[in-house]
Amino acid sequence: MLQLEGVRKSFTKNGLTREVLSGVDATFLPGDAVGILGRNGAGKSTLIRILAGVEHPTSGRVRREMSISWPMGYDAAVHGTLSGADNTRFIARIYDRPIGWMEGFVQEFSEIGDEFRQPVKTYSAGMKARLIFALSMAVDFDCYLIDEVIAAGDARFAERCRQSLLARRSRSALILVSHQMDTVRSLCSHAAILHEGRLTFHEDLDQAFTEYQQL
Amino acid sequence: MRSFPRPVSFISALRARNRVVVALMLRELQTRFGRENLGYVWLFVEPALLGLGVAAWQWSVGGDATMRGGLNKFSFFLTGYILFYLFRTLVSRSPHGIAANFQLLYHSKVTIEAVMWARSLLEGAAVLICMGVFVLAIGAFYGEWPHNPLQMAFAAILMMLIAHGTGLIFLSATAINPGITDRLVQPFTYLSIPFSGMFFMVWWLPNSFQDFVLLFPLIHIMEFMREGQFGYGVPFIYDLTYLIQWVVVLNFLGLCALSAAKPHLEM
Repeated sequence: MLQLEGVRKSFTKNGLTREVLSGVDATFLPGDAVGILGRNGAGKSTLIRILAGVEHPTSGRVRREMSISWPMGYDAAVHGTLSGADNTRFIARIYDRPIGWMEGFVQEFSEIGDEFRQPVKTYSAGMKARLIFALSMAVDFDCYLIDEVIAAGDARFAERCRQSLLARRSRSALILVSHQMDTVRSLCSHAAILHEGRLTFHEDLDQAFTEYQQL
Repeated sequence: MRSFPRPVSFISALRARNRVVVALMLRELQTRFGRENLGYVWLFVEPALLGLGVAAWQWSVGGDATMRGGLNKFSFFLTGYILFYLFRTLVSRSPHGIAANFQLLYHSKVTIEAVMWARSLLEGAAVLICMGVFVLAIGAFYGEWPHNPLQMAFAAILMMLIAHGTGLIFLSATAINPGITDRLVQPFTYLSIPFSGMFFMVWWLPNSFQDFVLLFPLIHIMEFMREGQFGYGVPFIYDLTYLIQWVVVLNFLGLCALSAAKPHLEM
């Protein structure tokens, strides 16, 4: 379970305080596939960073009772000067996965080939996206956080990502943040709208889309 | 399947934390020194070069003859500097603890506390090894072996803990103003030099001044280390209980400050 209770987050820049999240309540359980829709600047990235534990709320509580992935769609999960293999070993160590098995799985799933031993900064954007996705599949999280994404890389790999995520929908939670309704429809069973710092859940996708378009 | 809160025992939480800290240490070694194994040598050479420089300069100011108590001047300043180096490097780098590692925090298992521990332990281990190498070299060249090497090692660990707590406080202060904290930390480490005992021993000072310098914890560590190094030829003045109180209070305050600062830290 991943639960937010009255989460507020504000940032102070040049003496001006801006509240990005003003009291978000949400509960995500394994098996949930929620698409969070929001316009540019609605606070989607802030919300996903709080879910991931990168940032801490100004007030309110986050309870994490399942393993939560890093937000996919950022390069931040891997280190550029280390090779794909080094990054894999590091992630295997922190999430307590067998190192040898994980290296094999990631090299194969990501289809990087011999460049697995080269520094990540030499990878193309597509290769990097494949590496990061393969790593997250190898760790086998209870909850996947996805920020826009899967656009990176080729169409075939995007489809593979989608299939892999759909395949684990029964046991993992999926939280997708997007401003595009199509992405949400392809992966999620219900949707929530982030608007003016608050999150509103909708059981029905079409109802959510209608409301989102009226914003 | 809907899963419900899994009770996490204290022991398994501790083991998970240890695993993360070890992984961070290995990664820090790799990123900081490249993949070539020779790169690791720099971890020891850096403090050693600085220590040698200070010792050589002190030597040029007049050999063993000017040392009160007839201590070996070279080893006195060398080990003193290396021990202080641990404090200086940990504290002066602490305000950058997050900026240098922010991408690690995208892994929910990796906490700021674990990142700071990895840095402190790695630097502490480097200084311990560096000190060991020089103690062996001094033994080989001068025939002076340390009185109690374990006591010297314990002093280095105490120094690491003091620096760790101080570093947490500086890191937390970046939540208020990163620029000012960064400017303050350098003068703070320089101003610590006279109160670290790096260049003197407490018994050299007049009585009234002794009480004053003994308010500062670093000087207790330095005296404690020197007792381990030189034995009982000269008076060593320190209070281990007072020192450990400092360690506990600084680390406790550091953790409190960090948890208060977390919502405001810039990522």
